[in-house]
Order: sequence, then C-alpha cells, then structure tokens
Amino acid sequence: MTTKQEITTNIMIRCTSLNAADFKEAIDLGLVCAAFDQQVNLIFIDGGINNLITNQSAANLRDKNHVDILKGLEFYDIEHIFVEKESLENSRLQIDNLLPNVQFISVSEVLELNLNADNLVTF
Amino acid sequence: MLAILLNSAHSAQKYMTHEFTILVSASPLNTQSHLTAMRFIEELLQQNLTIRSIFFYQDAVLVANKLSSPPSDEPQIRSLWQNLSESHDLELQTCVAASYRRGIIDKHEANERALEHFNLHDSFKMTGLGQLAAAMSSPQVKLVQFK
Repeated sequence: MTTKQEITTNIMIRCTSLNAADFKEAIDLGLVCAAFDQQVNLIFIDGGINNLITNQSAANLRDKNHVDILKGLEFYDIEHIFVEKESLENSRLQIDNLLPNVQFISVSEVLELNLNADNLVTF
Repeated sequence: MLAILLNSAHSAQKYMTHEFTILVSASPLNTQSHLTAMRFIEELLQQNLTIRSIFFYQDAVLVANKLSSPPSDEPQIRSLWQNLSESHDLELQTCVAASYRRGIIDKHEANERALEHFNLHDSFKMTGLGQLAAAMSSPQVKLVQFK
C-alpha cells in the first residue's frame, strides 16, 4: 500500500493555452494521479506559463476558457503549482499577470524537483 | 522527440527489480517515437525485465485507428505494435477520453451513440487514465515516456 508521501508525480507543462487539448490532458492526468493519492506537482515552463495568465478571454477566439480549472485544483489535492522563473523573465509577462497561487522556482530547482520525483510526464 | 524520463536517483542495478510502464504520447505520424518505444520495449524484454503496461495517450491514440492506411513503403506502425503485442502477450491500452476526442471509437461507444461505424483496432483496448495512474502509484514501476 502506498501513501501520498511515497509517490510524487511531476507534470511539466510547456504547451501554450492555445493548445487546449494538451493542457486539458495534462490537467486530467494530474487530477487522476491526485485521486490515486499521489503528490502532484504542476510545473509550468516556456510557453506553458501563458496558461496562468488571469485575464484571458477565450470567448474572443470562440474557444472555451480552460484556465478556470486551475483556480480550484487545491480542492482536488493538487496544491503545488510551480513556475520556472527564467521562463517568466524571457516572456513579456509580470508576476501580477499570473494566477496568485503559484510558486516561482529556478531552472536548477525544477531539475531538483524532477530528480526527486517518482514520475515525470511532459506535455 | 524522444523523452526517456527516469528517476536518476536510482542506480541501474535497482532497475533490475523494477517493472516498466511505457507511456506513448506522440502521434503515430511521428514514427520515430513509436519505433523507438518499440525498440526500447524489445530491449527490456531481451533483458528479462517486466513490462507492466503500455499506455497510449494524447495523439498517440491515433495509432489504434484501424482505418488509417499509411503508404506500403512506409513503416506500418500499427502492425508493428500488433506484432509486438501478440508476440509477448502485452496489452496495448488507449486512453478512452483521448480516443473519443480524436475520433477513435470502439464498438460499444458506437452502439451507445448510434454511430454507423467504429474504428478501434482489435489489438487495442480502451481504458481510463486510472489504469495509467494506478501503474504510476506502484513504487516498483518506472514510467518511461515517448513524446
């Protein structure tokens, strides 16, 4: 029998918010892994940080806004959302453009997180 | 792109006691990812290591479309997976949600939706993400992704 502390799954998201299927399928896997009592870390890097922009209006694109799902993840036991600092610095985004419940970590901290994880899946 | 994602904190010796779950997420049109995944599986089997499961997610589920017909002088990815599965009694699992999203429909769903046809190849089995998550929950299982 495994416990939440024993299995850690990192889900690394580099696809942009305009690639809705990739993003949705990343979150779906995270939710199911959390339901199996795994500790799930969502790590946003590169263009993936665009998923975290708060004032997106998918309606203008006649698309569905998939970002709202990120706002309630703690209710599904996904409590750790990380953003790679260098990806933010390389974008034109500021911290206050992004959802508030995220932690900013360096490239080396991302590497360390991944080295210590039991599972790593990239999207 | 090949992404072999292993916990490097473990030594190679430790892997000898592990089972492997193979996650394929690349489109079958990205033939190299699928071919590399199959070569990796064959190598594991040759070393008497255990394959716990083979799971197709995202665009990789398109490989289960029995109507896809690549030119005869190109790799027949679906047939190669079928041969591997039959030779070693390995189940090929496709994510049901990812499959329906991409138009891969099994007989049951076709009946439910009153569709005229289904196109899931017999060599593949529709399963939920829970099958993958369950495998990932086992400390003995190492996950390897081909993206």
